[in-house]
Amino acid sequence: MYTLQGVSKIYPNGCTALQAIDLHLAAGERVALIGPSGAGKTTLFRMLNCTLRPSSGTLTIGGVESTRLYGKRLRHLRCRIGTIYQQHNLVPRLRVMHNVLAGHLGHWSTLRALISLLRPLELGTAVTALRQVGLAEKIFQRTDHLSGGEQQRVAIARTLVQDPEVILADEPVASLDPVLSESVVRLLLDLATRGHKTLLVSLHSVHLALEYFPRLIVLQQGRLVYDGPPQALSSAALQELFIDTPGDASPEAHVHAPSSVARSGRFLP
Amino acid sequence: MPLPPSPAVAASYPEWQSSRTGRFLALLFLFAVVASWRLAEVRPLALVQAEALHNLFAFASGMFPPAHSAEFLKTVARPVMQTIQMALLGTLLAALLGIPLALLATNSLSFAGPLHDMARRSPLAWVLTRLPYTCARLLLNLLRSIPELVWALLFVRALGLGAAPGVLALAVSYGGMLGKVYADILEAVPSAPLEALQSTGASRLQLVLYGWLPQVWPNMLAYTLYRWECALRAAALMGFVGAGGIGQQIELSMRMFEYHEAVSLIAIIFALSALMEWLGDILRRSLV
Repeated sequence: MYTLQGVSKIYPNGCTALQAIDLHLAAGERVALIGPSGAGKTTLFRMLNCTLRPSSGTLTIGGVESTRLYGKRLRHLRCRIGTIYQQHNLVPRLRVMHNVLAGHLGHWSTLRALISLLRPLELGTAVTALRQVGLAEKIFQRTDHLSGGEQQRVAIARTLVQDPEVILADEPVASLDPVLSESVVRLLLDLATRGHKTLLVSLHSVHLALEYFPRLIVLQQGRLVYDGPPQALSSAALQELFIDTPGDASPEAHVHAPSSVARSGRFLP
Repeated sequence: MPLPPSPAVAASYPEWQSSRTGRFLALLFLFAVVASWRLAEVRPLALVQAEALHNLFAFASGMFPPAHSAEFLKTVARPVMQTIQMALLGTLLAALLGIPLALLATNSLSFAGPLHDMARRSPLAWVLTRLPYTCARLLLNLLRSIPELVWALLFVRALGLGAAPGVLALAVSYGGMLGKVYADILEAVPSAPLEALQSTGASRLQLVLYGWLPQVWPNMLAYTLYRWECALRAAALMGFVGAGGIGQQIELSMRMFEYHEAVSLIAIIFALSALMEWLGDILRRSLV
């Protein structure tokens, strides 16, 4: 699905976000991404979802080189990739239902999009998605009246509506409590496994990564420093990496039986 | 940040260096104010000299009591209605003209910012994205720079006397003003939600509908309502050049030294202005 060869990204202000990244993601893989703040995780996501162009190196998405992606082809590719950003990814003044239905924009015509703003189309899809994240009752509220964690779940609902082949989640559980975080990660994994989707999730919680993902990649200061099964990464190396990370930095303490609430992958009221 | 606490701090943090530009500009502004004062020969004390006071008093005493005879009010009713209609129609047409021009004149829609990192890098693409923007900005500038009275004169020459040239004059000059402010409001929209929408595969027009418009329409509406109020006063003046409204009546009254009639008309404009401000407030509160 994705092939990166020597990919670097230097922003116009001179900041080097990524350096010589070599990465290959096959379709249907489930990968966790870990790295300290400022390591370049968000930049990597923005490149994988066709928002940013690499400064050097080649990025091939679905067999097409990114420099040859324009216009309709680019739009259709973006439609197949769903991104959950860390923050500020919803339009504040719109109602929740419009933000969630925006997941359809990739295949809606402009006329349908306009009509939906006046009279929501395919509202059932939005209701189903919101129910999966436990926010069905907030559907008619204005998005900026919700808390940060609720807004993050609305963003996840939007991706559910979009139903893409690839899900890129940039710290989707950063504003959620531990129980909710685990539920959301399980939900995303559930979706990916059932729909044969490619999933890349960036996490601050090392224990979630170690428990649920078969493959782990680690970014540090714009470089890829580890790519492989999470268990093979020594606890000493992890400690060194996350000396500043709050919360569960100790990998040994991660194993515990998930509660029945989290196990179902849905939110019980 | 105006002044660094010490030279050592200024040397170690580059941010203090950039504030030198700010300080220089502030000094330049101060100098410009003083120079303008001297150049324009502003002498407020001239107002309180004997001759000036006498003239002012003669002017003011001629105004009261304001004309309020039924005959007079019947004569001015139609021009007053015409003024209100000119202001409304003029502002509406100005908004219709301003919106498309503003969309073209927003750089973050065409080429600036993170939304366009994947765009083509060829020189042709560079020109094609910047040309409409530059033309739109230049046009908006042109429409704004020519005062509405001059536009009115132009249209009166082309279309003859009446209210139509006044409406067109308002539409054109206010279209420039509205367009420029709309474009500035559109450019100030934070790009993060737009980037997220774009990543779902939304087209540019869909981005405008879902990303830009919901975030800017209250500001745009508020400014348009303010311009509507200004349009009323401008429409009142259009009559001075024969473009309809009560301006003609005001000019006539002033020329015949019938100041009490003039002050009645001005009082009517004031009342209308206050009414519109009140209406605008209600509209704003109910829609936002």
